Amino acid sequence: MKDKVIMIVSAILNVDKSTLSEDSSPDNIPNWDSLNHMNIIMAIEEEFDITFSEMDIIEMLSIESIVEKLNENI
Amino acid sequence: MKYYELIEANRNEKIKVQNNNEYKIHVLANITVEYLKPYLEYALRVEGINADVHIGDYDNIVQESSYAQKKNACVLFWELCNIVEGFHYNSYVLNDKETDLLTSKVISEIDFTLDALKKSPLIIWNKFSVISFEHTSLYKNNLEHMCDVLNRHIESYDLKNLVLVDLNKVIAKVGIDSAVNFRDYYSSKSLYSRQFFDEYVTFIKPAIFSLTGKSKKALIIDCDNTLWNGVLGEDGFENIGMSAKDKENSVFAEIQQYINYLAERGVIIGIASKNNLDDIAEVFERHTDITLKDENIVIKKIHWDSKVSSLVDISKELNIGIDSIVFVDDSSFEVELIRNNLPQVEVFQVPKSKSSYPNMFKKIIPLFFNVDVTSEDKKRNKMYKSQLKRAESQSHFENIEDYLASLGLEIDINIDANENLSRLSQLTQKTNQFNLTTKRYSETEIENYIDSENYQVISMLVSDKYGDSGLAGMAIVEYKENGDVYLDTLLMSCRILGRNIEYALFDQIIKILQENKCKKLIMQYMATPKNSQVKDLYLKFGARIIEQNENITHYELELDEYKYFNIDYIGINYER
Repeated sequence: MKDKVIMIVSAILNVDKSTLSEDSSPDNIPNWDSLNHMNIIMAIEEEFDITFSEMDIIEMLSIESIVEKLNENI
Repeated sequence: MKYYELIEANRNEKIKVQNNNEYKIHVLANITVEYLKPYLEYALRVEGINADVHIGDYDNIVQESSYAQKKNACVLFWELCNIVEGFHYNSYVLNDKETDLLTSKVISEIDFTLDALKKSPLIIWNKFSVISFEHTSLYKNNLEHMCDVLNRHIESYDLKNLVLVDLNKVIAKVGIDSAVNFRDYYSSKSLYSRQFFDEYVTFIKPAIFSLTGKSKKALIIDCDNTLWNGVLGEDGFENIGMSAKDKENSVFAEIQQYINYLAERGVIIGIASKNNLDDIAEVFERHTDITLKDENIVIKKIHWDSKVSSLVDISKELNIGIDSIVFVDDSSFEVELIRNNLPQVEVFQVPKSKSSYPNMFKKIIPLFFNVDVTSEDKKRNKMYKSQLKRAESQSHFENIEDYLASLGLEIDINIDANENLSRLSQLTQKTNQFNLTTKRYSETEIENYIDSENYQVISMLVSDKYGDSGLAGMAIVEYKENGDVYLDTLLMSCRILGRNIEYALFDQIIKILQENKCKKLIMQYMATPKNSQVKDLYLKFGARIIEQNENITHYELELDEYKYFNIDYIGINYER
């Protein structure tokens, strides 16, 4: 699941997969702005056919926390 | 395709179209519509349009309108729910006076915006829709009333470049709960979901195709189990069905009427069927239930050979691109054959469930969409038919010159004639083959050239003793300050090709330029995948190459040195 999240984040941000890790977040990846954050959430919702709550999204601030929320929702 | 794959694909050079002509779309919106960009760019790029979609600043519709006008197209998302903060609920408690005041404010903003956009080639304007917020109450509320008033106001505009979109249709197709994303609306004013934008793009793209020469031109249909129920060769004349009165056959009566409708709108209708020619002819002549009119069918390929060759022949005989053909058949074999051999053809298979057939067919109708259907369109079918008659009689002459001489060709040359702006614009949009620069112009752009002192728009009407081909050729010349002239556009409709009319037209262009005391004509051939037939045209006119780049060849011609062709079998009417 983590690999899939990293693949989606890398596709949307146009950064190499190898540069992404669990710690990757808007703070340390330059392209990860608020618009791309929306894009990432939408792509993940589509891929896993789920809908995050408002609270989930607020807490999804890194690849690690995205995977965490994903596990809670599946 | 998934959303992240779209974003990746749009970045991928492979899908970037080879030519450098970017098609710029500016989106004006008072809500967040960033998701539109990947869907719209992808949908256009796969069709060869190098789209660049720019989402304007949030809630800057009025301010950005004059800037948006300079782009190839603009799209408007103007949401009533957000004309003032929280309007979808504040509207509940508005009194009449406040409602009127706000309505007139929005009307004046609409008027300003449409005025600023009046020279835009294409305005795709979503009509106001409040169905996302209001779909449970029996009674109309303030918001819905205001929505009605504003939409009536927009509909009262009669602008040729304005395409009004009924968002309710898109939302209905997707379903309100899937189309709207309130979580994102409350967090970031992003009202619509990815499913909405996916459908929205499908809905609006015919408008863009019609202005970029991508509209389909011909509908080629099979007969058995496609036009009627049953197989003529097996079931026999008496047992094929297409009557509106029979339960199991009525969908075929419906399909036949849609085809009649398309024919009347200028779509070329053809038949590609594996049958005996006489058997099919008998159905059209004698079957009491047939409603598809024989006269609406321009071309028939009825034989036992491959339908691949039928479609290729149709494209050649009618002088239309393979990619402008839509093909409908019930047989999986034929459908797969065409898909594999002619992937440019848009193929539809008659569904197994007959009741789904009409809805499938209704997806075909928008492919022929025209921003402005002109009367020329309606005449076109007849003209294609007379062109075919001419092709048939061609073989009876000793040589092609004799044949051309027998046609009684005449051309009428007009300068800056503005009675037929829509046809002039349409010629630039639709002409792909005999088009030296393939510049696409809207009606307003053509009008601007006509009004400008530095430009002349030379148009040509063509007729012969078999019929009237109408406005079928044009040129745009630009008079430069140094006395040179630049030939911005030179094109002729494919239905008049092969008659040496280009030489007569060019004679007249040179004559006009000489009357205007010009000395030198500068020309360019801009290569596209479709216009190679005119690659050396300027050489035939006696021009010389001054520079050759990858896709553009630059020519010049000293007018004094021009040798007139003076083709004696083409009559010329030119009045200054």
